Amino acid sequence: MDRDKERRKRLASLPFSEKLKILEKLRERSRVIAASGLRKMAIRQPKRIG
Amino acid sequence: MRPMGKGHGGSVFAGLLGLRSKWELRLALGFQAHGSIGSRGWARGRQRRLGRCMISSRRSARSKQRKRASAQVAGQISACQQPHEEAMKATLEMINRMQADGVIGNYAIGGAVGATFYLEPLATADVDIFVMLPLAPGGSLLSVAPLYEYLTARGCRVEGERIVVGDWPVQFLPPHDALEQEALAQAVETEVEGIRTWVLSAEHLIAIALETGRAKDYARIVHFLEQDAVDADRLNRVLMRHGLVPKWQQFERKYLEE
Repeated sequence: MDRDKERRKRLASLPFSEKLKILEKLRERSRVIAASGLRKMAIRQPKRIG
Repeated sequence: MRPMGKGHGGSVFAGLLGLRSKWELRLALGFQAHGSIGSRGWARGRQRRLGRCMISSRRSARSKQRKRASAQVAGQISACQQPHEEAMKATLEMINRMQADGVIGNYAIGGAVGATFYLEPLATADVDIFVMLPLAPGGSLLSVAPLYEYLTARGCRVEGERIVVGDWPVQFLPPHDALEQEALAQAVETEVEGIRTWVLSAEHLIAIALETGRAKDYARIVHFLEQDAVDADRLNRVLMRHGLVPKWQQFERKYLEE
């Protein structure tokens, strides 16, 4: 918990241009995950067999 | 993991999570997709009926399929690791040009990108820009139409209620009450990658989040408080001026007094 707080504090103290790079990465990641087949696969209902 | 019981607990729980069926709940919880949603006995019977080989081959096919999709995502993420670092710069340059051309008045960055000036980076899909719109000549109505016309004429595309400016979807928000007008008037001037811009103050971001009142807004307020990124006296004055003290007390009771 303390380590997490420390990490967040360190990230908060970064210059905004550095934060922007992280922000862009986070956005790209969400975009890729949203467009991937993983989510669609989780929603698809499997056929019952037997 | 224990399969779900015979009762309706699974359906109720699935409903609470906003899932359509017990199947989805099982998938969300990481159950094997071909398993039973009934009792353990049923699953055992089915295994006997089908034979273990068939089950394990299906399991292995499904697992391979998942691994393939996962590897695909990982590959795409690594391909995206050179982010468009100039994207925000291009967005702000375009907005500044729009201001210089008189299409918009004062503006300031709010939302998650605004909060990122004070906190750790917060995941967001778009940029919220609070913006003053000039009145139409001879009229008293504000319209975002000239703003959209200006941007679409320069190659920006509209995506629902957002418009993509320099690779960032931007939502232009004319202030709808006294709090947002004040927030815009008292925005802090700053520079992003050499581009002059304005961002809402931490206290106004908190007050607007409190007023908006979604779960993610409350979480953001907690971040501000945890990181001591707010002037308490200034925040109190803003809350008092805009009649938000009761809402703040309610927020305090619910999220801070534990």
